[in-house]
Formats: sequence, C-alpha cells, structure tokens
Amino acid sequence: MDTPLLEVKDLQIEYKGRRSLKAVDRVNFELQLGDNLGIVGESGCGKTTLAKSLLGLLPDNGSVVGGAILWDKTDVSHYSENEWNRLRWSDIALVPQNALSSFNPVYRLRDQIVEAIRAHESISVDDARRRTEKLATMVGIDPQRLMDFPHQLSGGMKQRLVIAMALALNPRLIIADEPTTALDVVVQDRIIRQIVELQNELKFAMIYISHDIAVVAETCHLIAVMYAGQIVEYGLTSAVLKKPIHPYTMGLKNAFPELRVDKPLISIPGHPPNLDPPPTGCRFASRCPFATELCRQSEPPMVELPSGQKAACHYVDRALELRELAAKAETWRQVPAG
Amino acid sequence: MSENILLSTPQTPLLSVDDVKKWYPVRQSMFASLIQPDKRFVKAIDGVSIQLKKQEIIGLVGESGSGKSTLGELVTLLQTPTEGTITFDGADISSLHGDALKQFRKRVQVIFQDPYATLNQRFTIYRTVVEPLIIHGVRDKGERTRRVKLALTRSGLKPEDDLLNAYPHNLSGGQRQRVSIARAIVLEPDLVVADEPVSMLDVSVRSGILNLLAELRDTIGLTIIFISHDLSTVQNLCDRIAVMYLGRIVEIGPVKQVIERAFHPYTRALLEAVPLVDPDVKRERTNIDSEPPSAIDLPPGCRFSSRCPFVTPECLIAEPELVEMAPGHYVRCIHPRHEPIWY
Repeated sequence: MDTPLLEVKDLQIEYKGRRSLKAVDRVNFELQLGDNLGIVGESGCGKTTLAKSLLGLLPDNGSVVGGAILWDKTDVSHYSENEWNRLRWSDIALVPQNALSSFNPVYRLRDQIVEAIRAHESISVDDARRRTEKLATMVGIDPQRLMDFPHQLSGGMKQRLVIAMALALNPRLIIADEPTTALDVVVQDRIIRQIVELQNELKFAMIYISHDIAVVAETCHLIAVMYAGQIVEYGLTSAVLKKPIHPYTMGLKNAFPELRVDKPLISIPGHPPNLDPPPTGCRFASRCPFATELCRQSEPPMVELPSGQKAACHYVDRALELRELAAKAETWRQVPAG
Repeated sequence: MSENILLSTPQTPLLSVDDVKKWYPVRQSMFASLIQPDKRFVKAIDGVSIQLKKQEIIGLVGESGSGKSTLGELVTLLQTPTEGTITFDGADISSLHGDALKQFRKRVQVIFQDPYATLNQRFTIYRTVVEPLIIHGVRDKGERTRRVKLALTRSGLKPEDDLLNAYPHNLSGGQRQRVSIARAIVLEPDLVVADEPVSMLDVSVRSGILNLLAELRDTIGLTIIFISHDLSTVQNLCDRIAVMYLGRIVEIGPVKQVIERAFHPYTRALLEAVPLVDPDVKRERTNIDSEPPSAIDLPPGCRFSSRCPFVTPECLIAEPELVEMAPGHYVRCIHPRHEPIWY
C-alpha cells in the first residue's frame, strides 16, 4: 500500500487555560489522494479543533501535545507560522462554514481572488485573472459576476466562490467545515453535487466536517464518528450508517429525521461529558443504554471487524443484538437522567 | 397524529389569515424615481390565506426569502399587514387596543431560532421565565414561582434551584431552547409561532425538542406554526404543510399527502433536494435553478415559472389559483405533476 498523503497518529490537542482541556484525544486516521472522509459529531466533540490542527489554525491557547500529523511523511504538528504559510491553501485548503464573512465587502470579488492567488504564486495579474475566471466557471458562476461586490451575490453563490478559491492553487487536500449549513436545501444540494463532481475530476483528498449525517452519506465514502474528543466509530460510510457497531452511532441514526421514513425520533438522553477531567472508562457510558460496570471502569479499545469497520466499544461482538434494541425508544428511556 | 385534521370542520378556526399582503417599499434615489415614477415594492407576502384549527401544528416551509418568517411576524403582530385581515379567536387583530391587545400578546407567543441570542445572558433562568408573568401582572410571588416551575417541568427541565439560578452560559444548546420554550408557554398561550426552533441544535437533541412540541400540543392544547426550511423535521411534527414560494402558498395539505404525492414542481424540487441517510440510494432530482428571482419584479403569471422545468406559455399568462387536488390538498399550478415521485 502507498504511504498515505495524510496520517494522523494518536493526535492529542489541548486547550490551555485556568483548567486545561483535551479537545482531541488520541485520534488516528489516514487519507490517500482521492479519499473522502466525513467527520460527524455533536458540537464540542472536537471535529472543528481537529480540522484546525490540520491547517495550522489552532488558536493561541491550543496546541498539539501528543501524537503526530504526518503530511507527506513529514510531521507538521509543530510547524511554525512561516512553515504553515507555505503549506496552507497551496497544498491543504479550507472551505469554511461562513462564506458570507469570507470576502472583504469593499473589493470586487475578482480582485480579491487574484490578490490571494498572487500572494502564493508568482504569476502575472492577467494569468491570475484568467485562472479566476476558469475557477468561477468550474463552480458554475458566470465569470461576469466576478466584477460584482460580495453583497451582490446570494449566499449560495458566495459559497461556490469560496470553494473556487480553495481550489485555486490545486491543493491535494481540501478541508470543508460545514460548508452548507447556512444554506437552503436546494442550494445545499447543488453545492454538495458540485463538490462531489469536482473531487471526481480533480482527485484531491477531502475531509468533510458536518453534523448532518445525510450530507456526509451523500458526499463521503469514509466516515469517522467523533464523540467527546475521540473517534468512536470509523469505516466505509455505507457500512457505518447501515450497520453501526457503536451505540452512539446507533443513537445518532435514531435521532436523525429521514424524509419518508416513518419512525419515531429518539433523542440520545443526557449530554456529552465534561472533559475536565474526562470520565474514566468509556466516555459515552453515561448516555449509553447498554453500559455495564466494565464500560464505566475501563476505556474500550478500538476493535476492528474484518471489513475494516471499527469502533471503540467493549461490545462490538454484540452489535447485531444492540442494533435491534437501539431502534426501540424504551431502550433509551432506561438511561438514568443526569 | 390526528387524521383528517384538514377536512372542513364546523369548528371556527383559532387563527384565520385572509388574503394578507406585506409589501415593503423599495427606497429609490431621487434620480431613479424620476425615470421610474412608480413606487416599487418587495412583496414579502403577496396574498396568503390560511386557517388553523385549535391544536393543529402546521409547518411553513420554503427557501429563505419565501416569506415564511414574515408570515410568522404578521400573525404575532410583530408587523402589520399592508392588506388583508388576520383573525384570532374571532377578532381582527389589527383592531386590538389596550387590554384586548395585551390579552392577545399573552395568548400568542414566539420561539426563535437561536437560543444563544434570544436569552438575556445576564438573566438567571428564573428571571428569564418569570419576566412574562411580571409583565402580565401576576402579582403573587408564590404563584409566579409555581408557574415558572410548572413551565420548566413541562419543557422537560428539572426546576431545581441549580437550574433556576443558572445563567444561559451554564446550559447546553438544547437546554437553552427548552428554557425559551418554557418562557413561551409560561403564560399558557393558545398559539405559538416557532421559527426554525431546532435548526441550530445538534441532531441528538433536536428530536427531543420536536417531541416536546408535539407533547405540548396534547398536554396544554397548543396550536403551533412551525417554520422551517427542513422538510424532514416538518414531516415528524406537523399535521399539515404549507409550502411557500416568493410570498405565496403554492401547495398546502396533510403532511403525508404532500410528502408522498406532491403536485407542485417546486415542492417536488424541495423534497428531492433533501439528502438521504442511506448511502446506497441514488437520488434523482428535478433540475431547478438554485437561485429564486427577486421578490421586487416578479415574473408575470406563475411566480415559479422562471425556474420551473415544466413551464409552458400558458404559465406566463396569469397566476394560477389554488386548486383542490385531493381532500384538503391544494396546489397552485396549471400543470400539476401526477407521475410518481421517484422514491
């Protein structure tokens, strides 16, 4: 097997403050060119922190305190700002959530994109303009519109241009952080399709962060479910969403409303644990209807099935039975509130 | 969910919106008004009629700019209509004054989208929820406390001192939204307008809030207008769906009917744009242009014609009326789609 493009190894990220907190705790995964990994989880699970660390954009009080981020075999986890400046955007690019604030309101869109390209590459203004027009066409925006100011475009059009900007320097990895959350369904649908098409064509690797499992189901072939700073389940999207082996994934699926699927919505009782300090044992135990003494005492190891699907649960071998139980509302009602 | 909620009933509706319009004048420079002396308007609501029965939950769906939030604001008197009347419990709400107006405000409440922005960060939870009682003159302190605790309990929170003395920043997003629900129901209103109440919440707590709203309909007899752009949430909660497009209802009917047998091309496009959890299913879509036209200069005839894949010259002549296709299921389209939806 080829060496992976990106290898995240036992990554630990801590936010320092009066009390320190490990927002990402021993996370592992690998990506190859062309891979498409969706990261899902509730707010506060560490998915955005993880993404920021891969772009060298952790806030000042956040730092990698263990493990490594191997980009092309080089550990970049302790890169300086200068080193990141060479890598970020040209090789690893971000599509942020809020396109509305990604552009300066007082400059024409074309000038902003041209300036950004020229900051990273020494090419002429004319070449940069031509590339900008090509990028706009690629994401379905009439190049004429590039002469507009940001407020003249709708949210969906701005989000497309943000995607175009991320692609401007041919990066090998795109990190998309909830790129469609602020948009209407019809616009969201267009953008998701566009991202998938662009990826098929340009073959970059992608990490797609979202709380929406349906969006990830349609965009990514790999999925990582995060909970309280850790990946609790990982595998092919089709396998994980059809046959989850971690009770948290089962719960997420239950809670997710699906059009035309007549099912009662079951919410996961309780809320994520305080990570300061993290609970002993399994972090999901306090909300899990199947938790036993073992779960509260010892942290479950990552167990891998022959198919490659893996989960951090003591009872992966009982997954079939747990899935059936998890589909019933009464199962979740047994969890002591607290 | 109660069946046949829509069939014309002898009961008088709790709320009746009759041909309501809300137009905002477009500010023009003096020069522009010389060239084009006609005043121009943004037609946020352009002729909407809808009736709600007591204890009904209706979902208003549509893209941003469809007018769904404006309609919610008109119904709660946060704005006044340009034309048309809104009748609540038999009285025209625009004519309400003094005590009658105060009574109306007590009986109609709003739950907003963002539980972070709508709670005062400096108020404890107790103070947040007690505020409406003070405004509406509940003088007895014991009575106020009792009612605050009841509202919190009904909203699925434990009204212990820890919570009463907590501040919004001590709570999770889901808990905050429950507090804003408690604040909305503490006066025991008849009608609640919930404007995207779950769109900012995590999936794992969303369903809890939806179930709570359904419960409140049964326990305290709430009538709910649920505004959302997410059809899959509406499906689980509402009795009826009204699909809005550029200020008008283009399709309305019982929820199951509309989702399974949508007639309007726009409704179908909305339904088809919802991503699916099952990764093996490949969706088919009706291609519509993702950008709606401006609500200032609407196309003549059907307002969806500029994006509609089935448009014919007849569509451009006159705006279609709502036609009843099945009991209680109305569609504003002269070429309603009868072919099965792909799923």
